[in-house]
Order: sequence, then C-alpha cells, then structure tokens
Amino acid sequence: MAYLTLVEFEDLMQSIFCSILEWESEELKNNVRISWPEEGQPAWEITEDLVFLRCYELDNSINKEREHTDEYQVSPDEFARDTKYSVLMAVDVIAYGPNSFENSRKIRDGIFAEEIKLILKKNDIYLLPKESQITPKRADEYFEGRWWRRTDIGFRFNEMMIVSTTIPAINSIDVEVYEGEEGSKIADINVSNE
Amino acid sequence: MVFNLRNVVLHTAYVQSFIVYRSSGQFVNGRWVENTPTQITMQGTVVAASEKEIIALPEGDRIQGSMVFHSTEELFPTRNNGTSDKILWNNQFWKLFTLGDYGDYGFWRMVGVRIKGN
Repeated sequence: MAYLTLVEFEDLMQSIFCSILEWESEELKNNVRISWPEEGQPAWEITEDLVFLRCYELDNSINKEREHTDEYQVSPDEFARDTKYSVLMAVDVIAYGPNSFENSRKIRDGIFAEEIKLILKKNDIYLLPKESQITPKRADEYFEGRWWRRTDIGFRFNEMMIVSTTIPAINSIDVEVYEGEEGSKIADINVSNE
Repeated sequence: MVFNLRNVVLHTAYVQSFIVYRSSGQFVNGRWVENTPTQITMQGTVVAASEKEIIALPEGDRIQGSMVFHSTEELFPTRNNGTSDKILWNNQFWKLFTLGDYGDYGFWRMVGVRIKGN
C-alpha cells in the first residue's frame, strides 16, 4: 500500500506548519497541535500563540475513479494489481493567540513556497488553491469574560492513493464449440498459458 | 474561625476507599502523550450525581452516569502537565468533570463521569 494513514498525514502537516511558522525549536514545535485528542489535553492561555490542525477526508467525484495496473508475475503465478485513485483531504487550521491573524497570513504565504510544495509532492500530495479557504477568517471567541483571538484558515489537498493487491492468474480454459443452437460438438479446445 | 468538614467526609459510617489515577504527560510533536499515571489511594464519600442513563443509539446502547466524590486530599482538573484525575471506584473509571475546591474547609468535591461507554 502506498498512502499515508490519517496519523501519518497529521504528523506530516504538523511538521510542515511548524516549518512555515519557523516554530521548530524544542520550545515552539509543540505549539502546532492536533485536534480531537482522545483523552483530552491541556488547554492554553490567552497570551499563547497556538495552531490546531483538523485533518479529514472529504467526499468528491475524484475519489470515485479507479485506475488499475496489472503486472504478471511468474512466481507466484498471479498478477500484481495496483489500484490508483485520488482523495480530497481537508486540513482546517485554527490559530489562537494575540498573533493568530498574522500567523494565518504567514501560513497562507508559506504553503505556496517551493520547498513546501516539494515536501508535499514527495508524499503525492498537491494543494488545491481554488478549493481552499485561504483567506484568514477572524473568529474571536468569548470565553469566561474575555475575547480570545482566533483565526481560521483551511486547505484542500489531493492525495494519491495506491492500493496493491494480487489477482490469481487463469492457467487454462476449456472451450467447447457446438454447431448451431442445438447442434453437435465440433471442437474441444484447451487454452493454456504454457 | 473556618469550619472544617474533614471529619464529616471521613466519617466511619459512610467513608469509602477509591484510587485516583493522576495523569502526567507532555506534548511530543504536537500530540499529548501520557505517562503511566500515578495511583493514589484516597478515602472519602461517594454518592450518585445522576442515575445511569441508557442512550439507545442505532449502533448500540451507550451508558452514561456520574458520581460525586468527596475527598480530603486535593483533586486535579486538567492543567499544564496532566489531564484530569480519573477515579477507579466500583471497578469503573470516572473522569473528573467538575471540581469544587473547598480546600479551605477541609475537602474537595468532584463530579466524575463514567467513561467506559457500555
């Protein structure tokens, strides 16, 4: 199989956004966090700049088409089948903190950088600018008597999926040929790949 | 004079033991990673906060409920170095959902929700 699991996809995005924001030091690299922690996780203070990532797949016509490539193998006697298709992956970015709006702008600019495109391409992932919500959307939250700065931005990617399976080969077929609709048998043929 | 209710919470007529699982952990590459929790045996009172409720979903019955735990030792909600205390009582785990800090009066009050799900 050649595709990223959801966790691998989240980890890749986490490292990409750390790179864009230049939050790669030990102190800052955990300020890009993955949403939906199973057992919960500590929250943050109003003064902290943090980014949360929500990653999921979206339904799209592109993920309904399949391309099969079959390659015969002598031993074992079967075909190796690669099934390729693309999926639409969504990454919703939620930035909190006093600099959340500027950080979102930085993310918007950085996602188009060549070095980021190359990292994505290496993993068969391609940004879809037209389908993305790349305008930072201010969405401040009122919590416990104060307005917490928050900005949302979203990206859509195509990711290539390759699913590998095997198809047994047909070694031989017996063919019987009859004359007319109810006629007698006129030939008995065995078609074999030997 | 501050009225201390510690002895009320520990009254022999209704005191029980329960084990607090105290969490600690750290963020690793953006994910919260829990260490092995510390187990602390505490004593206090346990009463029902709500009855067990069965939520009949198409996929199955989900059971929810909550208990109130009073203890004379401090209980912790989620903070910088760990998530909320969990209590093992009656072979079930209960996660701290609300916390009343009555430490000045000798006790802490926690409402724990049943986390097993079924």
